[in-house]
Amino acid sequence: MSEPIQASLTDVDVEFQIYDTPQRSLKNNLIAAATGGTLARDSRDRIVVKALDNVSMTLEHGDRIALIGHNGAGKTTLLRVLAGIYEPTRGDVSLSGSVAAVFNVGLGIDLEATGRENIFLRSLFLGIGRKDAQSLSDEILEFAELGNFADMPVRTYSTGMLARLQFAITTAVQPDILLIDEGIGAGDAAFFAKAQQRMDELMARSGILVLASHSEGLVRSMCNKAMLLNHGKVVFQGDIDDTYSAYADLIAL
Amino acid sequence: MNASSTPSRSVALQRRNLQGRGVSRAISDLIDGFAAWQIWANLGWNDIRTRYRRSMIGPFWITISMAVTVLALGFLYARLFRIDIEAFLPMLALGFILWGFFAPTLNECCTIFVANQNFIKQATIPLTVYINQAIFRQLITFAHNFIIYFGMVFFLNIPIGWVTLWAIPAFILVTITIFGAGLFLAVVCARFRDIPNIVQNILQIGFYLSPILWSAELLPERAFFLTWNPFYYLIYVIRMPLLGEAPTPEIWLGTGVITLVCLTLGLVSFLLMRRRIAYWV
Repeated sequence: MSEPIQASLTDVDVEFQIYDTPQRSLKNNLIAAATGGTLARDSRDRIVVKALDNVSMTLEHGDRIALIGHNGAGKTTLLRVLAGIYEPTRGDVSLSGSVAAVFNVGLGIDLEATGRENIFLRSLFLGIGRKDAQSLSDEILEFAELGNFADMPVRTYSTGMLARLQFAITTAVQPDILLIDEGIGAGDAAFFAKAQQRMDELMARSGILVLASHSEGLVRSMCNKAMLLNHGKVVFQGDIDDTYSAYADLIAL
Repeated sequence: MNASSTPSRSVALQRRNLQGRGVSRAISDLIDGFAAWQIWANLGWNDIRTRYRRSMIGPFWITISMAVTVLALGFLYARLFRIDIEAFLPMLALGFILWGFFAPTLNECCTIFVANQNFIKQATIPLTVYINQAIFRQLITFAHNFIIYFGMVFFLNIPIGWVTLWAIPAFILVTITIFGAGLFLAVVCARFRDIPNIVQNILQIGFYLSPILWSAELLPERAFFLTWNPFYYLIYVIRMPLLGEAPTPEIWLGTGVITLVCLTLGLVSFLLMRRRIAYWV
């Protein structure tokens, strides 16, 4: 048997060094930063942005956690650490299971290529081989209701068709661990209900869901726990109601 | 439940174990990067296809424009240097074709991580995939250009024989060198943004200081800019056998040393710095 699906962070820091900003002018702004990570200095007196500060979390099969916090609180950075994109400057990440990161549905869409070719290109980025991509392709095309446009260049698509294609590609695979940054747009109204259902199913079937969102409705319908981030620090971690009241307190401050 | 809304379950995503850090993650990046040949080979092909989409001749424009360039320059320089065109043209053409592999690849590697930052920050594929993709695409271009060599073998009097086969191991060595150098440049340039410009300058001068438009035999004595010019060895180790001469021990030795140095630089810089790359771009 393979290892169980899990993801955990232990004392994770993520620090960005700032190379291109004149340090003097930045110095003046040190205190002025109202949102975003904490600006600080590292041991060698360079300016760093602390995007995540001592974050720990443990996720097991069945956990659907929402990341809450205002813009720049560290939600996206945390998702990227889980996806393996940022390697923490301090602390440990341990994760096992297949991962799908849904950060940008339009990633890698080639406007000159056909819908079918785009599905193939995109599936490459997900680590799916040619054979599997083939079987995915028909299902995606059917779901996206592209009809005869499947073999036309994507630049000839209407905005709605493109949105449907992107949505269908993005939601076509079933990972063990699903990372989502904000809700995903799904095109026109007629498609919306169908898309909603598919999205709900995808999230419901993934072993672990990590959803960064500003939409309380989405969070409440999808998640069973939440984490509140502020300036890269974990302010609160617990059930959803408690986390939202902690968020309300934070905003009221 | 609506059947058509159910995502396909037949496709399993690759399971990942994200553990370890720094060097050990960099090692798995390198290994996974090569193993993911389907990704970089297909993306590389797609780059070429995109560039020549809706063109009737397609990527063979690469061959044609190279052929036109070397023919025109061949005639011009043969007259200027007062040398026999039939001996000069193959040398010039191979020089151009090889340079057309080295320079664009190295230049591209300088900006590769920055150019792919959207993917790096959003997709979870190994970073070396981007390097492999660039090199693979340049190899496709090289293959199209190399057709010219077969044309020259057919029309001109090039002495080919068993000795020509030395070009194969030589080319493999040179490709490894380019991979190492490209990896090194990619890492260093992601951090220090002046280096791409420096590299571009060096390559521009390198074109004239390397025996492409001229041959080393034209110089009365060995100039320092040949002895210390890595491109001299990288060009000669492939060009000599293709023109019917075994590369000299000096050329083999020089090429071997350059390969070793470039590969070491590339691997060491990547292993040590991989964890910072996503932060830099």
